This record gives sequence, structure tokens and C-alpha cells, in this order.
Amino acid sequence: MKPTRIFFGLTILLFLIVALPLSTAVIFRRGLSDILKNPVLFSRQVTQSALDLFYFRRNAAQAQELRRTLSAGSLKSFECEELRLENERLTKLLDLKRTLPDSIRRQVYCRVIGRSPLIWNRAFLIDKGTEQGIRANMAVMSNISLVGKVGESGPSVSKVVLITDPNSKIGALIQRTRQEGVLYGTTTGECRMKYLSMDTPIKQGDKVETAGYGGFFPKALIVGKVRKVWKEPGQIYQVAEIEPFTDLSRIEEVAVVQNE
Amino acid sequence: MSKGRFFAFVWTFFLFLLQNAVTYVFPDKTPPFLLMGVIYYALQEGPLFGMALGAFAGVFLEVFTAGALGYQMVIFASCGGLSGFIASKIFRESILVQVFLPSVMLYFLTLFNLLIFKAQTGGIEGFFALSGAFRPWELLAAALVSPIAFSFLRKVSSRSISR
Repeated sequence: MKPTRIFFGLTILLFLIVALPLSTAVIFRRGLSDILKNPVLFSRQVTQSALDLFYFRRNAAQAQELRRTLSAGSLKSFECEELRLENERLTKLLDLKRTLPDSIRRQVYCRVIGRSPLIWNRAFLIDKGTEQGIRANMAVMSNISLVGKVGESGPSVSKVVLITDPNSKIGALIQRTRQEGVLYGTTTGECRMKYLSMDTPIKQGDKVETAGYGGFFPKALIVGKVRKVWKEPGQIYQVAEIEPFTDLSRIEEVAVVQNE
Repeated sequence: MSKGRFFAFVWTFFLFLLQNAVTYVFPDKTPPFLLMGVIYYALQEGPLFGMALGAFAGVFLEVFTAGALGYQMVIFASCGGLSGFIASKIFRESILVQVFLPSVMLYFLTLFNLLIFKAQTGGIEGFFALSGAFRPWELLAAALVSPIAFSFLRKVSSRSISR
């Protein structure tokens, strides 16, 4: 076959793929994620084993430290349980609507099996999907804070879009002032919050949590703290740079919060 | 398809897995192994094969992106095609080519991705895309690792064909 024909054939094929409707793209990605799941998982396990061997001494010391912390923590857990029961009693007594619905306590724990190698794109794959009840737009948390949301979910693999990804936009508020804004990611991998009123003084270290509007995300999931605040030139609002509580580049396990 | 070309696809898939594995160790500074593979085989086999291999490599990255399908395939195919095209104009075994070509391609790959993002959302300024695509650490990592990756691919490719 003539090279020019191959060239034009390939070019036309690629542009036809780009022109595919979004619904087809989602189906294709789901299928592809499922196909790639096992090889990607294998590569992750090989790396993990190599790292475990490399950090054997450190891990052993860490395990000893954790055992000590755990025994000290068990005493605290009794106190926490007491406080929780007291809180439950008082909430019922005051007949307050609970801020966090019961359903958000249902969490699916997942392992991170693949990270996006693209510099500008902050996403990763997790090893659970629709078969485990995971759906698009569900909140994804580390053990401490919100890290992102489910972008797409296949039968056994889902894609998580991190809060630092440029495609991520989440309603949030400053915990201290209750000032609302939109949390978004930038192409340089930062997390920012915009549309913050000029009248509200926002301080460095102010905590940021989800606003819970729109019904996709549960309310009051902690995200991070304000690193710095400034006024965008030509705009009538402030922008804050948010430092996530979790190191987003080192996440290995996450919990998907089922809010349905 | 020749045996060498068949193994080019196999090694490209391996490089994708390697890149994924290395992101656990160096999350933000992973060298673009997949891109290096595409460039290496494009330099060896020419622009058409570079395009086809680039499109194949782009498929894997589609999993991590959102929105319309095929942008990564188009961008990687362009990188492969371009690398194959310039192979006849340069001395492809030169160390300078091995050091600079993957870095230059990585810059353009990031730039095109940022421009696509801009076109889709209007989120960033055009000038910002030019400067935003310039990530010194990633470019440096690509420049440092690419001669090693090229040498590795040269060895495994010749072994694959001789078997």
C-alpha cells in the first residue's frame, strides 16, 4: 500500500475517533480500563514489593512505632466512643437535622492501581467500580480529607479526578467565616478557591470544607487549609490557594463515599 | 508486519507499565518513558510507523483523561510522525538528539494538551499555555533518562529480532 494512503487513512481514523460522541468515549474508556486493570495492578505490585524491600528497615521501625501509638490510642477511643454517644443523645434531644446523612458513612475502600503519567493531568485509577456501587461524581477521601471525585466508573475500575486537576470544580466554604466559593484545580497542580467575597477577611490557615450544594457531594468534608489569599486583577473576588491535608502524590488507598 | 515492528508495540506497552510503576516512586517527576519509546521507534522505522505507534501509545493515556476521546492518540501520533520525519534530516544516533528530542517533544506534548484544555474550557490564557508547558524538572528528567532508555530499547529490540 502507498505510504500516502496509509498516512491519510491513519489521519482520517484518528479524526473520526476524536469526533466520536462523549457517550461512546465513556464506554470505550470503561472497556479499556477493565482491560488494563490487571497489567497495571501487576506493575504497581512489583513496584510496591521493590519499595518494601528497599525500605525494609524503615518499615520495621515504623511498625514498632505504630504498635506503640495503637496501644496509646485504644484508651482514647474509649473516650471518643463516650463523646459520640453523648453527641448522638444531644442531637436527638435537640431534634437537629444531622449535617452528615447516615448514608455517607457507607464507604468503599479502594486501592490506587494507576496514576496519570501526563504532567498536567491529575487523575488515578482505583480497583473498584460499578459492581461495588461506585458511580460518577462520588466523593473520594483519604484517611484524613477529601482528595477528589469519581470521574468515570467501569464495572471493576474507576477513574478518580483529584481536586488539583484542572477539570475538577467543587463547591466549598471556608469553615471559620462560612464564605462560599468554588474549589478548582490548575494546570500546574495547585488547588485554589475562587469567588470569595472581598468583604470577608480570610486568614492563612483557615480550614476549607465541602459546601454540599447540588446533592453530589456530602456537606462538611474537610479538604485543606488556606495557604495564601490574593485579589485577581480585574476581578471583584478573592482567590485563595488551598493546601490539601493529604499529600495527593502519595495516596495508595482511598475511600469512596457513597452518598446515594 | 515484521518481527521488529511487532516487538515495538510490545515494548511500548511495557514502557507504559514501567511509567505507571515509576510514578509510585517519583510521583511528579516521572520521565516520559512512553514518549521516549515512540520517539525511538519513530526514528528507527520512519514517520508512518511512528504515527501508528504514537496512536497506539496514546490509547493507554486515554484512560486517564476526560471528555472527548482521541486527543492523546492524535498528539502522540503527531509526535511519532514528526520524530520519524526528522529522522532523515538529522543524525539519529547522536547523543544530542537522544538528549534534546524527547525534551522538546515533551514540551510540545504538554503545550498541545494545555491548548486543548483551553479550547475545551477557556480556563487558561494562550500565553500561559506556552509558559505553563515549560516544566524544567520534567524536561530535565526526560533529557537525563532518554539516552539510557534509547540504549535499553536498542538492546532489547535487536535481541527481539534476532530470536
